[in-house]
Amino acid sequence: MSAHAIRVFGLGKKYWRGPDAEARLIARFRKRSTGETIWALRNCSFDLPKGEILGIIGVNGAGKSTLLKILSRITRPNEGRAELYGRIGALLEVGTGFHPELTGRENVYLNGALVGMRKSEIKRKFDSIVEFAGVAEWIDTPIKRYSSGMKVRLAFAVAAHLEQEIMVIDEVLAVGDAAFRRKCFQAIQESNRKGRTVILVSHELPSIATTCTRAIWLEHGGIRQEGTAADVIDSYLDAVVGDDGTHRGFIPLEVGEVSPLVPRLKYIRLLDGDDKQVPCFATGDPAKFAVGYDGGEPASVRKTSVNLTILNARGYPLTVCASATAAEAISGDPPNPGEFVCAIDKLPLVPGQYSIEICSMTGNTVQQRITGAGQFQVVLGRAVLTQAIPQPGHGDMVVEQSWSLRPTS
Amino acid sequence: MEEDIYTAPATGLPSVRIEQNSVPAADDGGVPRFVLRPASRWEVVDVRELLGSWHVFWAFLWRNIFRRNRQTLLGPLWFVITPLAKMLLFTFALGKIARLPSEGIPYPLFTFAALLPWELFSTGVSRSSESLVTYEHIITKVYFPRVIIPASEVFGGLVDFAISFALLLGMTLAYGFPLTSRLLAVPGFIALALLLSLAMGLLFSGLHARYRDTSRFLLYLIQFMLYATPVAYSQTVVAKRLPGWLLTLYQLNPMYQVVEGVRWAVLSTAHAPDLRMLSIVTVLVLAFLAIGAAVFANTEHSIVDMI
Repeated sequence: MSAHAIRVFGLGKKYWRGPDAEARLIARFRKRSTGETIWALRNCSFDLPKGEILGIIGVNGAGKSTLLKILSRITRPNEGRAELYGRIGALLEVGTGFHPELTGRENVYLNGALVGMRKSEIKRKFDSIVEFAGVAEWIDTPIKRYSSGMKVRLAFAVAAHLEQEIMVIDEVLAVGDAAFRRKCFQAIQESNRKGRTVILVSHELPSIATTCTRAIWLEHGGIRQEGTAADVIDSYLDAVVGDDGTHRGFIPLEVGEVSPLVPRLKYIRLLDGDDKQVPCFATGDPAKFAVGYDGGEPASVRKTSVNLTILNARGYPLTVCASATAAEAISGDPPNPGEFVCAIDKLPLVPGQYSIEICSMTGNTVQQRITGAGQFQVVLGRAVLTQAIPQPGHGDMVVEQSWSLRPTS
Repeated sequence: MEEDIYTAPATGLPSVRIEQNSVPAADDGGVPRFVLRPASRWEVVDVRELLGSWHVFWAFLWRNIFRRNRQTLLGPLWFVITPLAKMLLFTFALGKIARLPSEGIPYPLFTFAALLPWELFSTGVSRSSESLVTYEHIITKVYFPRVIIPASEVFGGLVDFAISFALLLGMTLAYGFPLTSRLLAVPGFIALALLLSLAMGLLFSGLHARYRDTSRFLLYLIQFMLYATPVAYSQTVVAKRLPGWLLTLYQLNPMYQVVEGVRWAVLSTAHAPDLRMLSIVTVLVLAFLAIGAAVFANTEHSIVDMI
């Protein structure tokens, strides 16, 4: 018998970039080309032994979802072949087929049937599903009255009770509270211990690092690296964090009308400790924001300062970094154009998405304020990969700390 | 729960309560193997897979039937009220004014008997041909044989039909017409209507996913078919005026056979179905269904990318 769960040989999938079918039909008559074929996935080959948990990582558009859609039989490849040794269950979206008007109970049966469970099987597992989701009192209420968290829990609970030999899970665990997500990852590991093979796509490197045994790093539709989860994540971080991208990490600022007397804010650059422009920051690593300005009267430039507000993904301000005025920061005439640079030694932000709000002041007068100036991503840095950092939902900050234990005196 | 909120690599994970799943062992020989490959030029319907997906079909059927009466005070009573209201409207609106010839049968009764199989057919066609788009959010997220979606829309109409048909029988008795053993032929005619509906649904649903013009076109096709089928009028009106060859063509419309057949079975109209014509039409419908299934099987694999 094969020791493999999945074998993939040269899998490829192309999509049409351009107008839809009807426009294409018309264009064919006019002998005009309207778009082009792009390969979302190409020459993808790998073997996955039974009983592994495979994490798939890569930036958006790298082909992760396409690969999962082919493996879960939702779409057919255009070339290559994949062999699946066992039935496959997919959780590409929580609550697929949930109907808002039907009750939780009815939806469990519906969703269960859709993802491949028999009625008798669902009946047998029903209590366990409801208990896992923790929605017992709501089970006869229409789903539309559920909170989004409850919906997700119920949907994942059904999926956790699937018996397919191979499970494919897309970014679905990004929703739900931290405690439940932990429960989900435990459920994944638990079912894996019973011999199931799991494929997981997640942007959360910590989850991949702690849950997965193997990992594949997809880039531009091909496999850049395959190996143990720790190795792949390490080189992924290396490339993503250390990459000196010329355009990424540069946020142009659009300001409206500004008096020609005051300097105009031009951009924000994200820099690492060596002043190299980076597309994202890493938790615990040095981080610098460089705010570029241009123009204005020397007198007003001297009185200019900037305030940089960092907001979390929910738009709640975490902190304001306020600069001194240019005259205080530099002796002599301030440079023009120039940059205010805010250097943070050890970035105390947990991995996730953050946004920036920026304003420039002359003295105490706000000159330009740009809310939602840009966003930046914080990934898990190597420095803290093995340390304990809060899960999302349990805070945005990592505080440098030391713990000790001593007898009460 | 609040104490474990850190991602420390866990060693002794607390066990999560999941029922012991029976994942087959690695070497029990019973593990099925699937090969995923590009779609070939000629795909055929995988009947074995389809039979293995009965439960998905039931789930869809059930969902289609019961979602409609939610958040209503009367709930399932609407299954009865809707056709009842339609029947009463028919009786009072058409009973007095209409002076169309109806083969000696009260016009409301005459029309209602034909309208029921017609509606089963026409709503089946329009719902099933749009179904792939309606359920886009499901078919792009989970795999099952796609044919289940249009099929469940067609067969979902049976519940409404059965209730309306019971009312028709009551109406027939109320007008003083006896019910005979001819009623046993009704399921045959209904099956014919369903198969035609399914054939058209399969043919048009793949097309609709690609070109939304399809549903507009269908609207007119169905309207044309309604005029070409003796639902609101008696076929005797037409039979007198059409030349022979055109009359044959008129009678080759499967819905003609269905509508006339149901009238004959319920109301004992004079025109017994012509068995020769009926068998030709049945063969036609089956051939049409085969074409519909073949077209569907060959669009099925690209639907998700096209929709």
